[in-house]
Amino acid sequence: MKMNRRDFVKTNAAAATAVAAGMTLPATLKEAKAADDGIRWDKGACRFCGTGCGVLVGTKDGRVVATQGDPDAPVNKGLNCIKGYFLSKIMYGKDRLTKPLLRGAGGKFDKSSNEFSEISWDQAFDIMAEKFKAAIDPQDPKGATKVGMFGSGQWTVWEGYAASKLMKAGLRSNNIDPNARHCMASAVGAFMRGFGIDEPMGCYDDLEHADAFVLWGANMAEMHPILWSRLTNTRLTKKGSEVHVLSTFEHRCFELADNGMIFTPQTDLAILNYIANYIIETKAYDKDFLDKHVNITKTVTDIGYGLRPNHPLEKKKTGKGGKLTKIAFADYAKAVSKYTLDYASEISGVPKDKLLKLAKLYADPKKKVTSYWTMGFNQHTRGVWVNGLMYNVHLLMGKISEPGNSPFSLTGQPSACGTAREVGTFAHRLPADLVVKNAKHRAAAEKIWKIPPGVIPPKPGYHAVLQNRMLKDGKLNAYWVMCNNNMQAAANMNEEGLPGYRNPKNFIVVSDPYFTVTAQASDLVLPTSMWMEKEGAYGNAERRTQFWRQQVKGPGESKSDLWQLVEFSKRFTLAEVWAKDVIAKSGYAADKSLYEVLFKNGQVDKFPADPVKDAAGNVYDNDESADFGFYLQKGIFEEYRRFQFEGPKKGHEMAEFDAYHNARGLRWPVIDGKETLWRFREGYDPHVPKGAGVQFYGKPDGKANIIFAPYEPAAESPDKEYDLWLSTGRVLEHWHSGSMTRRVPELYRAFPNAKIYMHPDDAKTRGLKRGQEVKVQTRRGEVLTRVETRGRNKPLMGLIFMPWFDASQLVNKLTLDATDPLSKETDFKKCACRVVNA
Amino acid sequence: MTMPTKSEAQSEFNICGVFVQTTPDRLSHVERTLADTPGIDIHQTEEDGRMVVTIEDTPDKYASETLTDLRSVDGVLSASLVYHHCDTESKMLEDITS
Amino acid sequence: MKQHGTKNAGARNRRKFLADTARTACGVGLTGLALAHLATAAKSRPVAALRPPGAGAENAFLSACIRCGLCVNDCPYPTLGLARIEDDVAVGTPYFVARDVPCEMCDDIPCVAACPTGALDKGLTNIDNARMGLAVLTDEETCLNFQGLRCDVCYRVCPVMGKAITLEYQPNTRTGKHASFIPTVHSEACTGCGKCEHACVLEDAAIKVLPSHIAKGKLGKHYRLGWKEKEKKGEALVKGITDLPDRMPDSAAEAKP
Repeated sequence: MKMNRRDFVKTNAAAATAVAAGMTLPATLKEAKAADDGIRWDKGACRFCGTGCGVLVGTKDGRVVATQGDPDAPVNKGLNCIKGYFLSKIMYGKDRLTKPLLRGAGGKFDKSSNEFSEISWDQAFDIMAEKFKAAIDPQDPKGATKVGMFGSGQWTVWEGYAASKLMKAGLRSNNIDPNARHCMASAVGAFMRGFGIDEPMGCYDDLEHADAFVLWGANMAEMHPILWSRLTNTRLTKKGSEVHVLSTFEHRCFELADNGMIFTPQTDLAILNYIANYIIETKAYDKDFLDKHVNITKTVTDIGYGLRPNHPLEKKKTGKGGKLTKIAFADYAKAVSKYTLDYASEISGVPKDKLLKLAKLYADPKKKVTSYWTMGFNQHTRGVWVNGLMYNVHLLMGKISEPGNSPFSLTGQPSACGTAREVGTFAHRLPADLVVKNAKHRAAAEKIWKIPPGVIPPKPGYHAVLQNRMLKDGKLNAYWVMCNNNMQAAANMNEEGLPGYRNPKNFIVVSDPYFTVTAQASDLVLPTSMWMEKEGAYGNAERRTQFWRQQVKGPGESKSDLWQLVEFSKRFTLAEVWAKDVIAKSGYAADKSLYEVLFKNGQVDKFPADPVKDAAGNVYDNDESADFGFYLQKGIFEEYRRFQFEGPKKGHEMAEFDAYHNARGLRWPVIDGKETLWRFREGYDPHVPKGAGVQFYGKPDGKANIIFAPYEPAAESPDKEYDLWLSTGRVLEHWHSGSMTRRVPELYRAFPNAKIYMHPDDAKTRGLKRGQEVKVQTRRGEVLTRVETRGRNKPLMGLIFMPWFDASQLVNKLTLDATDPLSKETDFKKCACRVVNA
Repeated sequence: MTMPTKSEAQSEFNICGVFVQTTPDRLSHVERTLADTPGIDIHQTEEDGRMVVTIEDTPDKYASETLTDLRSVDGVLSASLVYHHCDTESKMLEDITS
Repeated sequence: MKQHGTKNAGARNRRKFLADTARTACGVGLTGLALAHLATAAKSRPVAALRPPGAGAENAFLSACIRCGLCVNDCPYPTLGLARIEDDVAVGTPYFVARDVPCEMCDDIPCVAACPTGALDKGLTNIDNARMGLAVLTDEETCLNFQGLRCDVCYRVCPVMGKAITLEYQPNTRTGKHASFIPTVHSEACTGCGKCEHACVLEDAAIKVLPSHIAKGKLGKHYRLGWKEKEKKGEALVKGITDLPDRMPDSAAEAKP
């Protein structure tokens, strides 16, 4: 039954009047039930965090009109957080971009102009191709080092794959990195060093199996709200279960904590070594497990802070890199023996009884412990180390790779795992855990990609932070930013990011649905279709790959990232990008386009552009199929699967394309039609042979590494001039720099602007009142904000916390671009600042 | 002060729920008259003379004007405004079935 | 994107409409509910209109308030306004509507400081002791957290978080593996600032700040809650009561911790 608001109001008016007059209502006056009138429902995945909640998307008349949590999705069982509740609104912000925009008036490029003008896609690709070609020397044996791309953990699987292939196999540049570098790179580094294969061994089922949970630098209550409700349920319903929370300030997880600990920034390194020391001193470790499955090593120390080489801190360092040296168990015991309870408590500021309680938990062989961490560990100048120290504790006890015993690195972006990591969109990686440095890996990739040997450059490209530095230095000149908001997200915007984008030598392209801070700093903005406006696939933190069909069309002339990447490849002939001898080896004609070599190559274009249908017979658009004439997504995914089955590294196997359209996500490795819940454990993981019990098969000898690393101080700590720690982070209401959530009015109202959370006494001694406008200053810049001394986050004296979602308060003008020298991930959690009256 | 007529005013839209008391013997006459009046809908009638009607704006008349006129109908003892809703016209025409 | 919503257009038009109707109605002697409603409007303030911090009972406040507007003048946010003739609140008195602009709970309470008559109680020096109203979760059927979703926006915006609004954990029996976080208001800490109602993400807020006398129930004087009385006193109210041990078989006694 159709009903408009007017009918509805009339019905209500009559009903209210009848009630007031003491008359009984005839049935026809009862509020008419809104009939379910042709909304088409289909399954999808939430656009926001790495939890990967399943959602159902309701479409009517070409518009997503409603969403709901998928009641049968194993992760969330119909629930969503408040961001997920508003999914149906994220595509409909008033300022969606619908046409390409070029800096300069009248469609003529002018780097110095402050205005943008509308141009056609043809004109956009014309100028883009011109700028990219000007930056490429096809004969250069090092590849195209002057072109680059900055991608995303929000890219769909095929978008990441197409981008990586276009850059590495087409343009011959390894200068492609995802924003996951800011987010997950330290976790990746530790997985590779410790286990030789990326991503967690456990899964979300650990939330029900564990007896105790320990949070290290993860505010799950706000950042992984649905997982937190599962953890809470276990804490409520499982007798004897406990929750330990460690953070540099009190946040909402402390409310559930049996043991809440606030530690001085950077001293997590010392606390973890103390726990290892306690386990060894009390002889609680699992000797049998260590003998069979673990190598003991130590890492190079004093390795600097990933700053520019001329920075004083870099000149002081004595070590370099991440080389591991095997050591005896006794040497390891001796190395951690320095980390006594007294020392750990003194340096961290955590009371001894709390640390002891934590150490006892890990050392208790009867307690199943799951440890969670996110940005507190990863955004850390010793991020790979601290991730590794966490594994040390679990490996010492053998508490790993079985239900409930799980060191688990959570992810922030919806496909940080599925796209950025698994597809390998990092500057040093290739699909399925392969790396560009390894000749065998390159050869395998070149074979699958049907390109001649020598196309993929062997040297890793510029990582995220280095890209901004190279832009500033004028060594990276044609640059494409896709599906992220890096001007707002990257550290030290004033000294690195902005000067890089505005360097007259450079041409910056940004693809985005909205006119973000990054788009505003660019030279060409490409209007981009998002989420349900394209067929997609995401991979969440528990190795679950989820697909969705295209539900609606993008607005105006917007196009998906995938379309943009593939369409742009038509603009290059081999002669323009590959050396003559390489072309000769390939057997391809020199005037063949990259599109024909990379995509319409008899492999990716193998599947016909048949209508996409669901089980009920509903037919869905696929704009890419329609444009290119073949089922592009399926072709890419099936080519990607060849890396999993034919590549030199096992363990990443996925099911066939069609299986994912029929399933609520599958956890890889998917072998013989079965998902894998716990890896490296016999019975759960098909790669572990019978009788082995446990096998860390990512390493040649099947053994994981315990890696000793000491405590080393942060790059910048408070001093007399800048007397406070500044930690940045997120809030539940906003995600992905606020580019989508701030365009949902209800979410905007729920948390309109950023502010600094400060201890009331810190405010008082500075003469500041709650709500007052203040300046936060660091050596790099200042930001105007307001003081909050109440509310969700409660720092101790000496530290302030500020979220970064607010485009009107760019907190990354303040942060330092110090990175983990191993993972190249920025430490957004620690720098020195001061707060003064505005 | 003169009130702008409906056709001059901006596009707001009023709907009222009105309780009408009539003399029971004139009820059917009142019913017929109201049924012919633009902007009025009768929702319920009781034999004792009580009626529930809604009045909405029409192109020429505010609901308030129709309400005023309503009282002068022969047989109407009182007309009491119980419920009032005001919104923009475009909002009123929005489909809310979804 | 503007920071504060304006008082909504629908409400203003409604007032104008009622004024017009009243004028014509009076002219022709219309009887009934509409008139009665208008006549009482000035006396009984609508539930959505909240008084500034330090305002006492409505009658006492109305007799002490001289309608000078100084509190409104000194309010640093667009929170407080003076009731106009078409508003349903006594003309010239200060009020705010939480859903539009809530009270920001300034530490120095400038509105109270500005009040020349004591209509806003000068004894209120700690804003946490203000009682402008009481938040009530009025609709469990639409509140997202009651359905198991993780909204809890009201809880997180609360300036007295963890005291005025707490989240009570309940296992979600439908999913079997999640917990529901039930927002629960505690009158001993709620100041009635209205942040929760303002931020509620629903189209119509499921949590509303109501004047305390409407919101609050009252336990009969004849009954006390035993456990609370004991907690208040710190010991049993009646002393010297003994209990004899229960006889147990030896094995059971040993098993007892």
